[in-house]
Amino acid sequence: MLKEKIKQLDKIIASLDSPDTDLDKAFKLHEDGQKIVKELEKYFQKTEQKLSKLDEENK
Amino acid sequence: MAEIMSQNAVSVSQLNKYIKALLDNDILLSSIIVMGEISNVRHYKAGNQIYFTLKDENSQISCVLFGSTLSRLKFEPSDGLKIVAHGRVSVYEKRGQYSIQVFYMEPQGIGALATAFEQLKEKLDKEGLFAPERKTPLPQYPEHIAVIAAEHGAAIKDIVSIAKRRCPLTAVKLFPAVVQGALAPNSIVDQLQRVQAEKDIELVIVSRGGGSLEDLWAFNEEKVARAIAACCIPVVSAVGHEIDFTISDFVADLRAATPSAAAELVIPDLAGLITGYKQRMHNLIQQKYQTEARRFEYLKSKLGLLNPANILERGYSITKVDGKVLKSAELVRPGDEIETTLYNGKVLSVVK
Repeated sequence: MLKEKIKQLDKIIASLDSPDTDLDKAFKLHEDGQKIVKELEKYFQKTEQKLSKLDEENK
Repeated sequence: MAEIMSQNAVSVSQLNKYIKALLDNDILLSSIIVMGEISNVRHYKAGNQIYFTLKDENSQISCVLFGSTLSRLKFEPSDGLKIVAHGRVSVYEKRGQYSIQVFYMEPQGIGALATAFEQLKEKLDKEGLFAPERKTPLPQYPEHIAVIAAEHGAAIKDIVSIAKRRCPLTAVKLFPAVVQGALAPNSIVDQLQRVQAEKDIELVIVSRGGGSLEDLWAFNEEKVARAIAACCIPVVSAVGHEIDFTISDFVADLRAATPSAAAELVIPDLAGLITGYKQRMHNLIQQKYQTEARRFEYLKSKLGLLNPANILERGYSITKVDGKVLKSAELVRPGDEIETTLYNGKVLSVVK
């Protein structure tokens, strides 16, 4: 899941960076990008919790 | 005069016989200990004898060693070697030559066993039997180990105990051997042959506990050393204590100071391995998380920078005509309707 989402974000940013992307599309792309960022923030939060648990188990 | 001398003359044989009798009946000369340096060594394989000269700075005497004494010698008599010999002075009547018939001898100073050790070590070293290139690497996680040791000795008990503690999955099979005395060398060699005939054995420990140089001597015998060198399975030599070094140690694929040390070296520590793997996995996950998190932060900040709204906020605008973005003034004519998007809204205009 993580790899897929990062790949999508990469693609969105590449499109936003391109001079061929018009404004309407740019706004839409940015909106999509923000949705992915929110998903990934939740994912990283859960991962941090898992890692903390592992740290505790390994002590 | 000549007639008187002839009447009193004895034959050569009679003279030599007389001298022999004198020497044979002399208490001192029938059991004497002499020291000197060996020279002019000659072997007579047919008669199983060695002849040599024993000398000092001023004098010399012939010596002979016969078969039975020869077989008891622990070292090789060689020119230049200083020895102490016990024997008797005798005459070879036929030649009228006297010599020492040696019953026993040993090198001066360091002793027979130590000399034999150094001689064999030098010999096998010259042949390349100790060369590092000959050493076979030990298997990392052996499942079947052979141990050549005394059946009821401390060595096998220690090895089995350590195996149970470190890795119960490793099977240890004892090949009992005589590890001291005259029967030991053949016993060890025979067991090495048996080990190699077994299908699953991956490694063999040749082992005995501590003892004197004499006690450990079997592991300095040439036939044992050659059997270890020729063994097609990796051999760990674990003889005696930390300070004991035997020829087996030099020729084996690995030397362990003691039988316990051998077990610690060859049997993996399962618990330690598992802990190590757990830690490694944990570290790898941490690294992966940090790499991905850094990449995400980078993309997030870049997305922020590329927000089209940021550009409009700085006072820029985007103008469209007929739904298409206007990039050049030449694309419009007076009277055309244009739509301009600003940061906070749109403006409709007509070109003049």
